[in-house]
Amino acid sequence: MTEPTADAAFWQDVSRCFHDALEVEPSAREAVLARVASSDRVRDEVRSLLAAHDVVGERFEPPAAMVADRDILANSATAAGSGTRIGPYELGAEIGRGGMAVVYEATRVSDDMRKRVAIKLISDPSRGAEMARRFARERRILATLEHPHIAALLDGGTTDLGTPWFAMERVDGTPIDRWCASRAVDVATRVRLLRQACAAVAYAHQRLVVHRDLKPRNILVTGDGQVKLLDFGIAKVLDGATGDDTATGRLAVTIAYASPEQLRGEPVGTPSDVYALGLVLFELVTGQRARRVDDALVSLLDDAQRDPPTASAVVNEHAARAAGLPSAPQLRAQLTDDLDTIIAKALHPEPAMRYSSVERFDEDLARWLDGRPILARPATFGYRLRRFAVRNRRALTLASVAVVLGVAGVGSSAWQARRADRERARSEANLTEVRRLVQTLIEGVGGSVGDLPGGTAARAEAVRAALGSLDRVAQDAVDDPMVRRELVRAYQRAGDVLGNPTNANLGDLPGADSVYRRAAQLAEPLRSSRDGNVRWLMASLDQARADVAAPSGRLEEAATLQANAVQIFTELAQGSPNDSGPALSAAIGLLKLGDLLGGPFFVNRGDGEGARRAYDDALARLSRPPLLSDRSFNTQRIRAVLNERLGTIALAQGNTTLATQAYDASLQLRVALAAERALSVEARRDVAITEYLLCGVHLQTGALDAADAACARSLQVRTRLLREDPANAQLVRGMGIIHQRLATLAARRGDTRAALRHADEALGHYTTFFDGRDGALNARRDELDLLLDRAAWSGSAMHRARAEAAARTLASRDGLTDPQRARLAELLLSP
Amino acid sequence: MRPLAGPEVVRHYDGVTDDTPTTAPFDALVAEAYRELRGLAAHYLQREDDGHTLQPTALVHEAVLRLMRQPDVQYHDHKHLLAVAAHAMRRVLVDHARRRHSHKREAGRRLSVDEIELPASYATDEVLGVNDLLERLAHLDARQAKLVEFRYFAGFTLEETAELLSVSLATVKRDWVLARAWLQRELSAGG
Repeated sequence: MTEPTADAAFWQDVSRCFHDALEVEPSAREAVLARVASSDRVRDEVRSLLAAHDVVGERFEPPAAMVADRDILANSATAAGSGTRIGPYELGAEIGRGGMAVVYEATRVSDDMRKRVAIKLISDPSRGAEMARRFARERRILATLEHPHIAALLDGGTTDLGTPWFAMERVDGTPIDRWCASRAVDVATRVRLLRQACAAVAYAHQRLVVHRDLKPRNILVTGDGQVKLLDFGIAKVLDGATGDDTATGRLAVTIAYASPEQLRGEPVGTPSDVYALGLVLFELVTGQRARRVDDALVSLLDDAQRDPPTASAVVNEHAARAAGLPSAPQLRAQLTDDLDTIIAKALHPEPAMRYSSVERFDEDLARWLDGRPILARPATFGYRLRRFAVRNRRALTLASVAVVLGVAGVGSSAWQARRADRERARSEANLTEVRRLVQTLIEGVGGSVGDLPGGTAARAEAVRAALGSLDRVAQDAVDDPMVRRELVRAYQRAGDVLGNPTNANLGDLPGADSVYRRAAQLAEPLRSSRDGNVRWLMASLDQARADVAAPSGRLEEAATLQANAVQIFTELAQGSPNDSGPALSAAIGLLKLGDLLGGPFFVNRGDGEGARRAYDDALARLSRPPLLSDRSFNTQRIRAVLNERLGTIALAQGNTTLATQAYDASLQLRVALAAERALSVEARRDVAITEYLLCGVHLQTGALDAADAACARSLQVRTRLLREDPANAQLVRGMGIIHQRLATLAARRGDTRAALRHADEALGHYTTFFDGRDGALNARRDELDLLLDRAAWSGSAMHRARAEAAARTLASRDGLTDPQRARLAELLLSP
Repeated sequence: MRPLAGPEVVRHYDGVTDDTPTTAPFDALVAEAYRELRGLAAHYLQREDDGHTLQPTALVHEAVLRLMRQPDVQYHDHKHLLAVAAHAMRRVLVDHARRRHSHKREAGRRLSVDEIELPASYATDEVLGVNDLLERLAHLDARQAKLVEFRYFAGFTLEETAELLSVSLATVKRDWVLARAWLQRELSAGG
């Protein structure tokens, strides 16, 4: 140890001398010291420090990686500011800042649409590449989440600096807790708001998306009292774990609202969202957090594993007043029993013991609001009596008289109640099992069917295992209509996942067909129900069965089922004239029915006129309330499809004017949709397809310039799409089709060289598309048409031989069309 | 340069500022941050199998980010917040080094928070040595002691450190050269 140093003044002297000496060459230091040091003590001290300085090297410096890390953190997200361009957006003011992200207001700069969006920049660039990969996998699913209570995800990517970003629908709203507090709304209003959130979460769960990060900050309420959920599915994208879809992220979720299984790092599913909604409800009706957040994670975990607190037990005057809630005694009375029970069930530490789905949770909230008995607790005699008393005070008076007069009834009632308890417990267990299986179906397929080698087989296995268990439950008691309903829903989900071609599936069409049949059998006793939810379930089951019956070649059956679904949806729509849901479903059903009858791109019953009527009917429904003013993504998309179909039918009937009008209307809608949803490959491909169709009409009317222009626009969109996703076979084929059309157009103008150039380009794409396989017949027919054209244009013997060979191959598959036969003959006979 | 934004800019979508910051005693805040860091460390431990080694700066970053979103704790500004985090980080490292030093390992037991692998630059003895020396350095020059805490324990950049200490970058550089020389001498003097 060196001698004890003195005070601060001495140290200041040392410091000054030290730095003076450092400014000169080491050999000159002694001279400097002799000049500047005020004492020998200072000089000795500086000497030894200089000696230490010469050997210290990089010691005590933070590792370079650490500093670089911090610099990136400091410069990336937070350095972005107003005027910065991110993708097609220009950033405006910062509107929010959370744990790992900054949110900016932004507008689209391209096009004329100055659409306001919110851009979220993630301040952790070190995981940028991984997030970009996850995002690419999830975006298709996330882009399809369309719900009035979900803020739509519009776009996303990574900046040049590697910072991941997301564009979301801009929501002008307030977090639900603060909205309630500032307006001092009553408990029932709070529960009603949470039910809106439940509806959105239930919708997403049905589409296999789990939120994972529900909290008041992600649940906004707009000025007119509409709930909007933010960041749906984002947590999964942000998730830090590599390769494992189900693991929780280290930081992706907010610890305060994480479920016990999330804290334990276990797979996250729909029960985690139920838990988070329970926490939010707890907070809304008590003004306090259910869990203490000042604990470190370890104790938080302990806390979360214990039984959750009882809401009414924590009520205190101060917190209640701060949250705009009624006085403590009043509040306690409102929460006691039913809301306490509901919250406790949602917050059960064991996922399997919670409400088996958000719908069940929501249903109990609805029951609570109506003053009906809730399902969360076994209905004991006393409990039922209390509920009964609340609802029917006068009737009870009479009942009491009856009890007094005939006491004998009581004993038997108690026995009945016990039996009811046992049955309820059993059906509850069944329900839990069914829900768990539905969960398996959701987890088992996830968002990315088939994008992992071998993944499809594994998922199919998971679905079959779940089906086996479902069959066992179905054999057990299904006397409980609730269990039956859940089973029907579960079988339907299994069918969707197995092979419903209208969603991501495992490609097992016959499997889906047979599972849907089982669902239909189980559903038979429910057919007569007048309950809106059951009716809806029946309609969607019929629709799903039609989806599978059509490609299985049973057009008649499919049309009947679809018409039936349309009928039910129409009745439901009439029952609630302000609700756009059933009205839109009816319109979609009519669209599908039209496709079955005479849809131009489908195997159909050849009833073009019937199809036109169905499409017209659908369009008419979209043109009156409640859908008239509905400009949401889904509704606009349906409008675009209907116009496109009507255009094609008009063209087939020789009415080019009407066809042009309809295609133009469709194109306008689709251009707007694609601009809004840069994420959606489908939305952009739709634009390319519509341009191509328009090009076809122009070609037919001889308007070659207009045809050229439309074709060029289509090519532009397709080129960009293919660049983003070069392995996508359908996009490759699309390029071939466009170039084939361009070749035809060039030939029409007499430009043989250009025609041949486009023909070769198209053939190149077709070769890539077929990749040595036989390929679908219609794709091979396109190719043969092109080969025949090319041979005619060039007159080359080689081209002629190639066309001939292709025709033989197609003929051997019985795929040659009559016009092609005729053209082949013509070609072979020409000199 | 804006190293990290503090809660003064934590706002909600409707643009209203969060609850007005309240002052909590520094020690209480450090205790808070310390718990947070230990919690994070524990969380990393659970996930060891994905090949993650504990990086102290990563811990600080995440602790800061998390502290920022804890509505119950409010800071004057981000300087205050970072100072708290740096101090908490020091405590985590020192505690860790102490436990390591006292050979408390038992075979076959699940790893605890205190047994996380730290990078080589944080040798156990050095951490304890620097920690002990900081008290003496504070006696000589409080600012230099803070500087060592920010640089050595929390890994802040020179620029950030300058901003945190409200002095010029040049001053921080000079102070840091001297402080490192002093630490070097004191530690190699066999203390």
